[in-house]
Amino acid sequence: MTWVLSFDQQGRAAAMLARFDAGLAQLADAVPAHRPTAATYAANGYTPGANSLSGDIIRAAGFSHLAAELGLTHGGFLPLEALILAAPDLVVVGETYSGNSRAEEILSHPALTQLRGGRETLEDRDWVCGLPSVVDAVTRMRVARDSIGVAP
Amino acid sequence: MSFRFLILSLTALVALLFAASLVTGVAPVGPGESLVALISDDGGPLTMVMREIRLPRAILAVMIGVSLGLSGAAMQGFLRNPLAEPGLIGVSSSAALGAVLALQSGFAMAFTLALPFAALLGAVIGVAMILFLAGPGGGAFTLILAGIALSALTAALTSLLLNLSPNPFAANEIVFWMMGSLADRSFDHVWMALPIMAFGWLALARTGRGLEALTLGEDAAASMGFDLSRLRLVLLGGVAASVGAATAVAGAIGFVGLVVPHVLRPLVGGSSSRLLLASALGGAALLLAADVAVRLVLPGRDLKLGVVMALVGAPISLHLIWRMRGQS
Repeated sequence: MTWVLSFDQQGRAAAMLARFDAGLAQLADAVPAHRPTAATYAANGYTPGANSLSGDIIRAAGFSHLAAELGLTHGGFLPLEALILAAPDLVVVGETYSGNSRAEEILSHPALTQLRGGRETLEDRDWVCGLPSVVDAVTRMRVARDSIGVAP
Repeated sequence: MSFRFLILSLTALVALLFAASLVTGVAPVGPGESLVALISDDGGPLTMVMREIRLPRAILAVMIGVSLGLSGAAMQGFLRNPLAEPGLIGVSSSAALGAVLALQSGFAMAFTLALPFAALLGAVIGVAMILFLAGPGGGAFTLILAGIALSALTAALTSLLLNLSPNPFAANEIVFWMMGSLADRSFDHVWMALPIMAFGWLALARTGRGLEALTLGEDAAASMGFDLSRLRLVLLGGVAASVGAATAVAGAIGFVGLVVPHVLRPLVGGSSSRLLLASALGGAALLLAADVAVRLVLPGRDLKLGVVMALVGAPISLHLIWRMRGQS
């Protein structure tokens, strides 16, 4: 019984992988020359580094990664002041949990919400694991990138 | 030293430390450049940092310092005990419990001033318990013991609430509620705290003459026509409002109300009403200095204000206890 099921799933997996590769290839073809800066910002001012899945997603979507520019290759805590001064073109924040925490209050700080760049909310499940849905996350980020417009 | 000179020097000190607080931060920007960006809006990110992050932080330091300095001076005058201080006797942690209860239950979102109001209610219960247990005639050690018990109880309940929260970050914030911090506060917090704090300042400012009379003893004050139960009520409201609003936005910050009146008392010639004004300014100066210090020691790491205040304040309270030991 078990091996029959797994046999079926292998076929589906291969199809899924093919779709995933095709999606990535399509996105890779159209990487724009100009890369706006994007930053990911989470509770307590944590930012995942460039050497992470989210870092790869941001690069694949045609952004330059702020954490990489600031030397935080493996992630770390970025003070709000430093984030604002770096003036990224897009800030990606996660969804907040229910119940109050001061750690997450930083994500609704007026300085962050008034930042001139765009703001995108991605749920953790969209990009915390290397799933086929990662292509959707890259596509959403690409749309966000195109809406920023190409600065000279 | 004349009183006028003392007040002018303290005001100048507050102004100087306010400027120092504005130019302290992780951003590698010169002081002149930062102050220019604060005053003239160039539309750049530096103006945003100055106006939305550093300015509210410095303003909150002044407001909270005034609240804690005033409360300490007033409580010490009323209880005639130099150890009566909102942090040490559990009033701040009662206020923190009220604030955490409001935040975790969602009551804080009910109306604009709900959060500081809930902290005020917590502080009212704390001050009332302290005045009931260790009011006039209670003695110095009753006060301290009551404070220890109240602090332990409220801190335990605060920790329990934060651990029960569905938010995974909440439990880590026990440190914030116990030690206090001004990191990443905004003008939302200034506007939220100011009305209730200002009410507390006005109430405490009105206790000056009553406290002055009380230095002669309760009977003398009563025979001079001062209504002690009314004075107690005004004091309770004033301390609860100012400490409550301060704790709601910055957590419990101890020792400010202990250190400041202790240092300034000899300089005002022992006058309780003059000590109130001097302690308000002194509290603002001390909190500004502590908030600059936490940013210089560990830039960008949010070292808690309570750490610096305890390092300064605990030796002074030990000294006070030693002195009281000699008296009894």
